[in-house]
Amino acid sequence: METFLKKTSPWYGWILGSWFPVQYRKAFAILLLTVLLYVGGGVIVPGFLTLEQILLTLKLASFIALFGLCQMIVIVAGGGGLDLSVGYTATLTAVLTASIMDGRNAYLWVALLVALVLGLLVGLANGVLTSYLKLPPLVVTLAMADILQGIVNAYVAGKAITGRPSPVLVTLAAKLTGVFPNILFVLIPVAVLAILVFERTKWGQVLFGVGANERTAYLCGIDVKKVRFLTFVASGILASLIGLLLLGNMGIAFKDMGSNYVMPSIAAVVVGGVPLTGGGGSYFGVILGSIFLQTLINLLTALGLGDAGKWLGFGIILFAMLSVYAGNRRSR
Amino acid sequence: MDAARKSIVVLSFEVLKRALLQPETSSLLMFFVLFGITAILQKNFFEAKSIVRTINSFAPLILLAMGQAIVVVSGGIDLSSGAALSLLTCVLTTVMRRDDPVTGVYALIIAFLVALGTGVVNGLGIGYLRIPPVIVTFATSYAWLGIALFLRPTPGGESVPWFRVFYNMRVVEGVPEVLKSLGNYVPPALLLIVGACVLWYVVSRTRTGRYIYAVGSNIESAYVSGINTGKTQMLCLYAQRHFDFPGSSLLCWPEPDWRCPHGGTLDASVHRCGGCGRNCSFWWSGERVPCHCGCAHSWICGKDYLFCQCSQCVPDPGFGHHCHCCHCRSGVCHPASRTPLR
Repeated sequence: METFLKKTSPWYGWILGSWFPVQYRKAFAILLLTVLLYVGGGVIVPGFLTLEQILLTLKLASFIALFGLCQMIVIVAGGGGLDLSVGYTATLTAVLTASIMDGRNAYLWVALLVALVLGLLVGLANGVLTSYLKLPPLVVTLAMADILQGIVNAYVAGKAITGRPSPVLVTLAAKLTGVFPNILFVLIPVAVLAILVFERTKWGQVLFGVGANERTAYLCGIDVKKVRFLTFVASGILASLIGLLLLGNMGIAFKDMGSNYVMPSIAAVVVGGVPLTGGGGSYFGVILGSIFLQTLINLLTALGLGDAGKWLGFGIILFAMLSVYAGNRRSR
Repeated sequence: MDAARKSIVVLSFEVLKRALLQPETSSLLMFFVLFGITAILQKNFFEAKSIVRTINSFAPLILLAMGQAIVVVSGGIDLSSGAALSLLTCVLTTVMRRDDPVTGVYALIIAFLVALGTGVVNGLGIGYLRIPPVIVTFATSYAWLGIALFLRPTPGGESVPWFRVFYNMRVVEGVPEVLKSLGNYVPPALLLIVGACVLWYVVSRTRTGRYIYAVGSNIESAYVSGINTGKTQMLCLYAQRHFDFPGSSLLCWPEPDWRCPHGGTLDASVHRCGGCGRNCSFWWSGERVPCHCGCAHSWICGKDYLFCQCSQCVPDPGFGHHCHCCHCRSGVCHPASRTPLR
């Protein structure tokens, strides 16, 4: 058995040894890779390894990490859960609330209310269809994304998208405090809260339990359907609130503003060590996965290879890294 | 007599109930409803030219969806099919030279090999490295897109004139008369689709076909039963490209300048097709449901050109918002809102 474990132990297990907590091994490996990317990038590209560059990367990665939280909540609960509608939920929220706020703080509470209601509705629809009607999450959330895109298109048909975010949102999402991006003041409490909920509360244990073994969780008296339903609701609400932050960061709302984050957020979750089958992982890993992906994109852009080199490099490195990740499963 | 009549009525209800409970029935019903609505709203719907153009426009999407269906039946999904299609189109249009007909043959051979290569890479990741299909194909989609952009960073490219054979056999010199006369009645794109259907029908009845369904239904049971699940999944990814390949050939004429990212937009359409056709039943897949109904739903649902009565107007699969002959500025395509595409 010991020999088998040694043979199937992933590469980072060999580096870290048995003393390192298992749940943080992947996260630590990602951290190492990110540092390597920065060091390598600093050698190849002058100016890549600077504080400004690192903070800019953190700012951009924050949005991926926040969307990653939506994905993680759904994925951890298992059942093949994924939420492809988060991007358009955020977009629709931004488009609707931009005209409500129109650069005024006074209407921020209305925008928040709209975001909460919209996110709740999207989450409810996704949750009911996937958990109670047993439809595949991928198809349901893809269809939901289409519906939301249609609503955005219909809303903006024949007219320009008007309105601006409130100054509070701009300060929170786009501005800096010294050299420190303010969005990190949002991400850090969210991360602490998420980690506490996932790892220290009963709700977190239930979530992991349902994802790890649906049948066992059911036999233990957990309402599996309800748990999965609630994950979609939580994901919808979070995505909608992230839409407000995106609006604050961009300064204007536009079509497709959130959809570019969907696949990177799923990639960040996987790179961060959350199994797509559910039942494991940590949000800390997801944040590191987001930073790694953003650093990789920045480096490939800084290398001046153009879009072709950027996407080719991104695809190859992602594929190679995931292949190594899968090392322990390969021997099965 | 009454008892006999009653039993006939009961039997009829039972048959009707069973038919309605079949997954194909709901898809077909939805298809006919949408077909009817489209036919009513579009005046030239039943004109021969309109039908041919519609078939030609949606043949690549249908072929892609058929390829996707094979992967989904085996319990996977391919997010890179659109990007792979873009890559194949870029390979074809890069190799071909308008004034050198033989380059068309070279292009087809090279594109075929590239298609197999992309299938093998995806298959290795899913079948042997055991990485979730969503993630493997997400990663490779970027790689295919990157290569496509290397080959063709800007729209353009050339296509040999005989590639028109994929659309109209009559206009190409050297095509046997038998095929030309067949082309009078059946568009070549439709023949490709029929050929693909026949191929899949045959394959699905072989041992390999059964293995594909078994792996899709329950991979653990299939593995324990002695099926090489990795090999089967890899084979599906590999076979999928046989469907993408003719799809890419269809995209090279009459517009060889389709941009690389176009394939990306096709991805969602392809998955939607699978979803509507109930093939996207991912982790409990294995249902024998053709994706064509799904494709048709996607096609009809995405018809923004629905209100355009222009006889030249054919929608772009994947985009939905644009016609080949015009951009729709106001969301409703009518002559007043049309501007020339180029």
